[in-house]
Amino acid sequence: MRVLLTCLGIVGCVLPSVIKAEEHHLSWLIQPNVCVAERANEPCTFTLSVEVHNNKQQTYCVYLSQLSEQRLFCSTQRQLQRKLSLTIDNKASLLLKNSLGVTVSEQTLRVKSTQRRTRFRVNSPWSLF
Amino acid sequence: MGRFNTKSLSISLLVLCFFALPHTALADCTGQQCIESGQWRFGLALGVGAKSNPLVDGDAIPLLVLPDIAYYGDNLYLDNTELGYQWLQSDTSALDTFVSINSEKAFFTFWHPSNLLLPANNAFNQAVGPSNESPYDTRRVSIDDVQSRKWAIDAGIRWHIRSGNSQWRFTAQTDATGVHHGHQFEVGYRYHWKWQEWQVSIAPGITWKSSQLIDYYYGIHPQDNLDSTFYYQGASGWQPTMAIGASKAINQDWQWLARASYTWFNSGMTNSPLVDQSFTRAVFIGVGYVFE
Repeated sequence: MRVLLTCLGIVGCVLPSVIKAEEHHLSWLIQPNVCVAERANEPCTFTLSVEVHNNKQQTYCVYLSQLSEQRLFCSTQRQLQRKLSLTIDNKASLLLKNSLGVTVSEQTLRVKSTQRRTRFRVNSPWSLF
Repeated sequence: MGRFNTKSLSISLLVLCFFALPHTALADCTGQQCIESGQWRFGLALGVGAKSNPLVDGDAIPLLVLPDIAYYGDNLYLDNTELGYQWLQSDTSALDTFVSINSEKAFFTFWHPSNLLLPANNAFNQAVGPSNESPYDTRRVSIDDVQSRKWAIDAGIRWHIRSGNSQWRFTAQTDATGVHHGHQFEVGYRYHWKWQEWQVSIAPGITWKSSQLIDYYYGIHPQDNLDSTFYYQGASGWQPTMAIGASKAINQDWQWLARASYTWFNSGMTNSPLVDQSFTRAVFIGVGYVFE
């Protein structure tokens, strides 16, 4: 029992370090992460660049998460730069997952609109009289 | 007979508009009826115009400088003399609750928000002022000879239905300050379209006003300190309205403005010795500027 508890303790101390190490060995850079649309509350299409550093050459995949998850691509390359053309709404994010399917990083993608938000007036303008 | 025909025509037009029911297309918030959320709008119109006063010895209301002040937040709004809250809002419908200054007082006093900060003069009276027609009898009581009517603030609820270039409005409001203890209910329709470079709108409507509301402002009672032969009890009734408007941009800040309106009063109001005309009409032509 004492040996078992010792082993568990060692694993408990090492595992976070392993995860941290994995994160260090697998990282990415996404540019841009904002899509600019002409009209508000409409889907937005844009091209972004994904740069992945995979020092241990492990298998990883990139997913687009909106209402559901859509796998965009997978790779084992040490360094990869890829351009993606995406159509997103205001609740999208990119997920970087390792070979176990665990999300190691998440990047939120936002939609901004150049259109001013307008509302209907309850009365006609200039109708004071 | 002439008055009856025009009133019938107005009601017929309103019925025809009722049958132009909204189609399935969504309404876009473009043009004059839209305002940017979270931004104050200060507008000032300069021009020539007047609104007739149906009351005995009531001066026509000159319309030379017209303000247009509005602010719309996420739900709260201020639109000239109305402060309200929009519980529902979409491209096709909206539901508001609000408080606003009752407009009946405008005929009794110059210092109503809908009046201008300029004195009336005889020129306006001659243009749109009281006619020689006396509706029903020869009893006439000047508004200067009766007790002053008080300001009143009404509270109300309004439902909008929008589709394409059309909008229906259903409004119910009641006295919130214990002044007239009355109510009114309005059905209004507005249709707007573009003609060359002009934005044009037409807005027929009809308002039912309760007897308490009519009686407070246009009734004559012992507190008015008049002979009892002049006593009058106001009665409820329907008041149709027709309004048309047009605007055209001159540049980014200035626009041409033209507005006209006509309201017919019910007999429960026009039978009062205080009332000299069975209608009120207003016209304004000028230019407007919106401060940004």
